[in-house]
Amino acid sequence: MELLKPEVLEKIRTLNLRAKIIVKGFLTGLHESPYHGFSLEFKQHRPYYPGDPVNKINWKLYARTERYYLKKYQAETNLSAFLLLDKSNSMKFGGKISKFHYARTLAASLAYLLLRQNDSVGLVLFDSEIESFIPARSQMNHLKYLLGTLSKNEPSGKTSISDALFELLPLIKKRSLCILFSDLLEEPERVIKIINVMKAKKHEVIVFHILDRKELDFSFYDEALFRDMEDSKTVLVDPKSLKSYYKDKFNEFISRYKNGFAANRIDCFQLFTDIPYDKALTEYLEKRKRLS
Amino acid sequence: MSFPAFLFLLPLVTVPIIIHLMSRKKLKKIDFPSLLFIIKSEIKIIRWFRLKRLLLLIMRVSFIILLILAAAGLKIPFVFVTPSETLILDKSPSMEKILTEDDNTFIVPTNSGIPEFMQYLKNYPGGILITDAQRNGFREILKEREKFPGINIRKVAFPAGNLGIVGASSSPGYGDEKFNVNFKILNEYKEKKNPRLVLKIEGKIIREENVILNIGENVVSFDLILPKSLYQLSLELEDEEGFGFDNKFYFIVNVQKKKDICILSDVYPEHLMSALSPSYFDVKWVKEIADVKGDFFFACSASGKNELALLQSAVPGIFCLQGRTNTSISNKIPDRISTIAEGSYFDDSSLLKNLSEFPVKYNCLIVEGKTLMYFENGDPFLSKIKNHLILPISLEENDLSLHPVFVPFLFLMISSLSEEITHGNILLDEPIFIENLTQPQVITPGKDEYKPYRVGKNYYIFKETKECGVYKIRDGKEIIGLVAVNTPPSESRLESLSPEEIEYIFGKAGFSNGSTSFIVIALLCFIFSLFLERKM
Repeated sequence: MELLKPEVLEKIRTLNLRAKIIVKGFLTGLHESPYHGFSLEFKQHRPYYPGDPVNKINWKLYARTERYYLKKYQAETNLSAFLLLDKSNSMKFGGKISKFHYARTLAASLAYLLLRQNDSVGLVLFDSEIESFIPARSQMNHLKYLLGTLSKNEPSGKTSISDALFELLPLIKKRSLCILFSDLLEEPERVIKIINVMKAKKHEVIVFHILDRKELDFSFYDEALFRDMEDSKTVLVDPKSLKSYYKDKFNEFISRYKNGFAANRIDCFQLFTDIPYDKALTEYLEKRKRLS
Repeated sequence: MSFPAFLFLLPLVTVPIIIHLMSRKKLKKIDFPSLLFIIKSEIKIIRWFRLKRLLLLIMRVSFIILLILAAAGLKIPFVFVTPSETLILDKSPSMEKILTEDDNTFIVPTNSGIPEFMQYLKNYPGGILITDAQRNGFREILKEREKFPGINIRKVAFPAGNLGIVGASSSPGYGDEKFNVNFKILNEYKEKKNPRLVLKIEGKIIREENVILNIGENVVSFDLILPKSLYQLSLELEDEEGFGFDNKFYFIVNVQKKKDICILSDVYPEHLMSALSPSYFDVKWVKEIADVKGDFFFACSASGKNELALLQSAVPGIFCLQGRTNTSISNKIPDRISTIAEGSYFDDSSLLKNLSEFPVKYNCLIVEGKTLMYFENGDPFLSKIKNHLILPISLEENDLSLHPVFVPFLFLMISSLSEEITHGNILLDEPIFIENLTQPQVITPGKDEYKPYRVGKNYYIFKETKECGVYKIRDGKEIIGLVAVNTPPSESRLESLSPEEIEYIFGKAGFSNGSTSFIVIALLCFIFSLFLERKM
């Protein structure tokens, strides 16, 4: 699991390889986990024939019928997932690993994981509007295209999640799982409102709220000119005197999101850029399990 | 440091400003995802932060300015002075009619001069003193200036002129015989003046007359006939408008009986007998020491007399030694010629000045007794042994007895032997010397009693002659001497004090010592700036 820490994986430059290592490392760690086989959907029972693996015998059915039956599964191919990645300038913030970098790696890993499970994966990059839209495909070679798009894009523009998602709504026609990666620097009510609209359209939404530790604890010490990464507005700040006030306001902002998401049954996972990627994947799998 | 020099240091003030601006330029820029929460909190906190930065700059600039001001030694007016509350006006005649009054001002009249004026100062710790700042009387304020820190001076233009009494003298007074007292009065106007003079003896008005004073120095004489006693005289001068003048002159006159004086000589002292006017002494000529009677004897030539017998005489006397071989009291020396030094025991400077003009021939050196006067070359001129005065000269040979100063000098010598401390006229701040008293006490004009300092056997000094007036010397219960104390003539020059003198007198009173205050405030600024820096 040590290998899945962002700072360790940061040394691997290729997003593709990084995603594979994350997913494989993650799956290796799972072993006998209850998530095993979730991607197959039960279809029917069939009689046991010699040579079939014994461990596939349905013993419960045998107890009732005194005949050997095996469960027959059908691979699930109709799950469509869209990775919605916020590429606004504010995502550029971070120490060694920016929020965008973290989100991009996570998105890549999820794409790989999803495609391995024969799910179709699409990608949406947005700031205040949609910058890239890649429809969902389930072929493994689609991964290359996804990762290429992820690698090429760098943060720019202002954040407007609600506008971007609103623009996205007509583009996703099939019922999909939408995984949003964003720092959610927008009025919570607006974001929650548009997610609710998505849910009304039968989409499932998972929000990965990407944050940097410094954003939360405001660990600055010397007075400095703080520049807004999105509108370049600067302000002279004395962090020492501002810290507690800022933290209060920021926590209040986070709380508004948490409460809003909880009230609307929206799954949201707060991720800091120093949290190992597997934790984020676990969160996703929990959700995916519920969906299946 | 002078003021222009301090101006050269003023550019230092720009140092903290430059540092302030540079530090602002050097501020680190931090890209932050959103200033949403910062701007929300900025309204109060950032403003306070900016205020702190501004305060810090102000403190630093103030610190430097104050240090420069301290170095420049500027003085600052006391802040608690409320000029509109009290106006204390120097209403002495020298101020003439320069009187202003407005609704917000109380004018405190000081008709009785400085003493009353001082009382008003005590009642009003803050106020403006309007004065022409003449020397007369301001010594009182000078002495007391520490007590009036709130008095702020406003100097008005020097008036056209002034009048003042600058000295007094008298001829020897004998009981029930006419003598005169002369007062020297200075008229510094550019015209003749006709003031009123009031002569008081023991506080009672004796004469009151208008006199015409010419421009410059005037001498006004008063003829008096008084019984034998010590008298306190005071002369007050009132100008034409009737304002009381703050220059009151005190003078002590000793009216005594005529002295009976024996001249002891082998031959009839023709010159001496003619020189000693009958108006001063009752003179007799005797040949033998056994015949000496009366108040005093004068041995004009002690040659051939037994000097030890002379010294044994109960009658006080003056005798001249000349051509003597070495004895117990004198040594023979080759003939010398010298003049008499000024500033010796006797304080009549005009007399000594006249005496010192004579080259005197002498051929013996007095080696015993207390030397009262010296020759210019340092040899003793007048010595005292017991109650006798000894001179190493021959009056006849030196023709001194023919000179007009001889009789006053002889009178002075006789007075010094008979009534050493009975009266005197001294200047302010000069000490009173007291001899041969067992329990001396000095009573000041303000009726305070002090014991003088003992500086030797039966010898005392009283230094606290801090106010003008008559000081009484008491031995036990009996008043045995009077001393009149007046301001020195140099202080009666009736000219305005110079700006430097005004600053000296009122500098500490009306103005605080800027340097100390500036340094204290600068330190406070420094401490406050440190506090602000820590909070930043």
